[in-house]
Amino acid sequence: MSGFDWFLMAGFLLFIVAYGTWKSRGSKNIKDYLLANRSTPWYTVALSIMATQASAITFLSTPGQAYVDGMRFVQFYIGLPIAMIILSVTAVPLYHKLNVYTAYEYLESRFDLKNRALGSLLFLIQRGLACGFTIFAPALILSAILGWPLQWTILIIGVLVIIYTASGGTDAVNKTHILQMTVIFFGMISAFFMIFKLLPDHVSFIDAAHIAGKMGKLNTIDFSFNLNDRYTFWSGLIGGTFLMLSYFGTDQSQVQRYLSGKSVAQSRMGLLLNGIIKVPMQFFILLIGAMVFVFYQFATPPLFFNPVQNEAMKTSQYAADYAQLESDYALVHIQERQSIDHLLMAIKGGDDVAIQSEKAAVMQTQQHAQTIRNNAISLIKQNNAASDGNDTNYIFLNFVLNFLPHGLIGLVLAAILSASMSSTAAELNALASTTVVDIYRRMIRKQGSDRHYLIASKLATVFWGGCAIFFALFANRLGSLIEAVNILGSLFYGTILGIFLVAFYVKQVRGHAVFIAAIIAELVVLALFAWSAIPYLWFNFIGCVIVVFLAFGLQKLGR
Amino acid sequence: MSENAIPENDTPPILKRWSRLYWLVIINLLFWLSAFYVCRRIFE
Repeated sequence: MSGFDWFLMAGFLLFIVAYGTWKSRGSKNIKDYLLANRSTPWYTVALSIMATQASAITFLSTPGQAYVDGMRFVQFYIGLPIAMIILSVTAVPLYHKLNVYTAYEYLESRFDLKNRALGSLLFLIQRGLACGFTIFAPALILSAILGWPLQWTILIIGVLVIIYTASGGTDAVNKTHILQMTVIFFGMISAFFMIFKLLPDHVSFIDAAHIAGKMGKLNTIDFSFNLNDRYTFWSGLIGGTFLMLSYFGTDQSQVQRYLSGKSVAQSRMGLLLNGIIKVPMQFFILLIGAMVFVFYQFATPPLFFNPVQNEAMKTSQYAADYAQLESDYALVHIQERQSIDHLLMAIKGGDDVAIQSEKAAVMQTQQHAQTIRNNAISLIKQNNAASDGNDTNYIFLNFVLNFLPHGLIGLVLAAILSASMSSTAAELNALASTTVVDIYRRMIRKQGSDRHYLIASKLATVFWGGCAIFFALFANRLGSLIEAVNILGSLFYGTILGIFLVAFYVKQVRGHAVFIAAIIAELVVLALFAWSAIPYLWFNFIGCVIVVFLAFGLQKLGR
Repeated sequence: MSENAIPENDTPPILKRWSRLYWLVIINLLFWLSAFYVCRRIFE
């Protein structure tokens, strides 16, 4: 990283903190602080919703996932537009009509206090832990690749977010989201075009797409119905819709974004714009990963993308074996590159028989390279059993640092750190709202002044920021980080969504029945997670269905 | 704040009827799913 990169990255981060604090100064009451005085226009609502969902993990882990596993992860988002429509029709007008600060307030008006408390607690547990991951994930990767001390990276990201979120509340979060999303879009689009500039002259965009496709990286859609396959059209449509309904309809970090909308119409527009942009945006991020894969067919990739593990191996007792594997890998890669060139010629010639034969040759060398990589991972594990054999999260940043020009490196890093800060800020903001509105004001101190709750909200933001930093400092290896966060969400979202669906649509069910059903559903989901091999997206569906049917059954039995 | 204080009808000028926007979201999704399918068929 050059001085210019540092200047761009640090300058932008400090500017965000100063801008957020300055633009939102003067919050005088809790409505200003937690709902931005319900004055946010639709485009800010849309950008804020997107910035909340798109954490740094999205930009670090997703391209790596496409590199390793292809683009099938895009199916995870198929349910999102459908969920946006359902929420625009149902939840948005209801929340606005009831004039609530949090989604869980609605549960008390519909059922009773214990359901509100249960909803709030499930959210606080799930989001409190996830917030730690949101800071930890990019800090881990940045510290490994750039050599920054992990603890300091976590502390700096965490403290910067706490400063402007605690001082300006929802208004600061929304306003900084606009700037952060602008930098994120600009950084990712620039990186995308640079990849094509770096490809050999004889490889066009269409050629690159052919290479990615022939090597199984454009597997964007899969209609097979296989419960053991994590990402298919059906798991995305059914599980994804339930997950997104739960995330956007009942997770306060998202609900707070559209509750701050000027009106029902402006909140709806924000959600629907997100429904239009999200699928192509994720497709684009995955396409970056697939194109980085194509790029590495013409430039030798490192044997293992995590530089910390690579360095550790060079000074270990397995150094000679590892060096041998590196040299074998480089040789196989030369063969692979030749096979790719032959495949490209066959594609340009339009000869189907030759294409199939060259494709088989490419796949064979690819398999050989993978075997060498697997041996290297085994060696890394032998050297240190606790080390992480998954380098998916390091692929994109490794490419950025080694191949992008100075200036663009700083911009991409600013985008990644912005994404981390934007989602963390929204999470802290929501955690503070739920703590103060649903727990403190409702159960502990009911008669405080507006100023008292304003100060309590600021203190709650600092408290949850401290918790997030604490969890981040003690978090451990998690495999693919984006999956870890989604798995954690899926353990709780189904139950929460079930409670809300009963509240919205099953009018005859009362509080007691839904409360018991929710407790049983949560225990079943946790048991399935511990003892079954069901892919995590289905937990959203299972938890939700158990709550709805059990609550209905219990209500009937109780009559 | 009462229900009347939240204006339902200040629809942004981009689209005046909500149903049109809902359809736009669905058509956009179908477009992308078709594009994914076609691209996979062409390039694999």
